[in-house]
Amino acid sequence: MVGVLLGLGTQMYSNALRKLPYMRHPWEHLLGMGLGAVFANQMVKWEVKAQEDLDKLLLKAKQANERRYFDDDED
Amino acid sequence: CSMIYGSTGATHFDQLAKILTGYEITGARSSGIFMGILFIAVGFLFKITAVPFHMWAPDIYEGSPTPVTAFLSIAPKISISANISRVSIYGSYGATLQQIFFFCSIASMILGALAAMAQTKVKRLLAHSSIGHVGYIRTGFSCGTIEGIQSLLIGIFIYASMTLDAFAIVSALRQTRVKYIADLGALAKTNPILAITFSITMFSYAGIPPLAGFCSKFYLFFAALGCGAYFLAPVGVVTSVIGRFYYIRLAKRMFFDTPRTWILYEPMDRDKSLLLAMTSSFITSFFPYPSPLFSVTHQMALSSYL
Repeated sequence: MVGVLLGLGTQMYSNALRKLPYMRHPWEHLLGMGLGAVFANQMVKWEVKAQEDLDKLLLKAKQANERRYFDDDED
Repeated sequence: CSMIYGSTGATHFDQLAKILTGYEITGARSSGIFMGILFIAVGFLFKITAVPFHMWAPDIYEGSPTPVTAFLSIAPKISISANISRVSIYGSYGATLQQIFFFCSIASMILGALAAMAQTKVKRLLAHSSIGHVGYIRTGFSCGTIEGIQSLLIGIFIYASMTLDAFAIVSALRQTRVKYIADLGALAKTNPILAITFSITMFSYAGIPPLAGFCSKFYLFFAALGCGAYFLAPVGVVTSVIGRFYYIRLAKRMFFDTPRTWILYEPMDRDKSLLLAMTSSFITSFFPYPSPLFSVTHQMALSSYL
């Protein structure tokens, strides 16, 4: 929903910048809504994946530090 | 590079890291190594227009075609920041280099804030603004911590989108031969949406919440305080406040002043308007949802230290 509104708003903003009526070429608005929806969905999925990868990396860093400082590992 | 190779015999980052880490406190001092690291740092600082190697920027930015200026103000910052992060984190990172970068950050912030106030041309003003922003971004790098590198990456990403926005507007205005700040008078009457877009970009540059520029500066100063740079952060805040003068002056010109000569603003083409719409949407909508950028930059910063 947010993506749809973002895409629609971007297209209307683009028309407004060119001093055209906001709904000129309405098929472009539909395209913007579709692309906005896809973008928002993909962004949410990607953010979840990035957070999981970050958590794994933080765990790896914590284990490396424990190995270095508690187990006297030279590496 | 050749001096470092001549002094150490190594070009691989891993080998250099073993030789150079802590070379100031072990007995392995060498003027060749020090000069080599210094010259590499100076070369990098030249490319990103950091003070005191910024002299070329305003004249080149003003004289070049606008797309070239936009490229020069974005691409080297990204590439050199990545390059210098790799060299410093993997290769060598001594206190000397950190002091150099601290000095350059402070000097860039101060000069960017003060010199831009005297500018009368739009592109020269953006050049000095870019110098100031390099100072802010260098703050994150100078810290040498994971939060510092993360703030550097966040700062670069947001700076790139703001600069794309600003130069797209300048490019659209150049069609109508707008060169001086005074020519922007009454833009709000002839093209109010463009004037609002330009104002949003300038307010974001100034670091006014809830725009993206505020998030970038907040995180950079937060990282500086976290690493103990208690002088750097207040200097950054003060120079931000001073910088707001000329950013808001632009908005004041557009909304409240009359131009020297009335100019008919020609409509821009679709590519520019779409680019402006997308970057402005990013600048305004970043504040409620910053977590994707924060996660990925944290990951990038952490992986460079592991």
